[in-house]
Amino acid sequence: MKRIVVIEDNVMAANLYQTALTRDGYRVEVAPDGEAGLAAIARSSPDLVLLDLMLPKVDGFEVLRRIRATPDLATLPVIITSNAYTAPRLEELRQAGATQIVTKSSLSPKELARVVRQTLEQLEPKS
Amino acid sequence: MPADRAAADAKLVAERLATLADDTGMTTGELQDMWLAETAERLELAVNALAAGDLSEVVRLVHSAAGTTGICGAAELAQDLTNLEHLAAAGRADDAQRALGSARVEFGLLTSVLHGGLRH
Repeated sequence: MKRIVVIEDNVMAANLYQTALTRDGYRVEVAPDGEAGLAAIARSSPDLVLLDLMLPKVDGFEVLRRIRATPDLATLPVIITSNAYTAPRLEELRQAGATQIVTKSSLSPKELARVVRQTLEQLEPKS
Repeated sequence: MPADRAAADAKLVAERLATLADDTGMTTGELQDMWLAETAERLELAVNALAAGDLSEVVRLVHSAAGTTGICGAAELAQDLTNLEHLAAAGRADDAQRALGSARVEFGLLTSVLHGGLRH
């Protein structure tokens, strides 16, 4: 079973994502801030991370930078869940190593789960 | 008119919550209660943060509320909250105060409309 770490301080968003991803067959761990998220990543070696940007303690940008600065995590897929007006920062996010950037309000949890599945499938070796 | 905006948002919220209910197996009532409670709490905390002069906390709280509000389909309120977030981020405390007051009124209207007709 693939493991997903959801780093999201918004309880409702976290619940929705966790429920949709669990229904899709993933094992999901939710972390409510950047510090807890980094600890969860270190602890559970996830296959993918869903990362909010504006987080307590350690913000999403810093979480992404620390992930990419860790050799073992350099290729870990990280999907940024942003609000629409973060658009001016998209290039900055890509340069920092974001695998995908999605807008929260434009994707239902089910659609987000589909993005997760597609992202993971693209990374699997072709047979 | 705030009441017209609230009515427009209520229609969008009803549609979006039905989709979210399909996605998650939760009921629209559960989702609605979760969103309204969380948003009410964030706005109340934002009032306190603004009174304390902590604009960065206002930004964080309102950003979170705007995100969930957008997920739940209330586009008008989400836009107002985003504008409020930008005012707070720019250090414009007086403008943020006014915007927060307006957002709370709109949220109250929307809550009333939703409590009047969406429960399943």
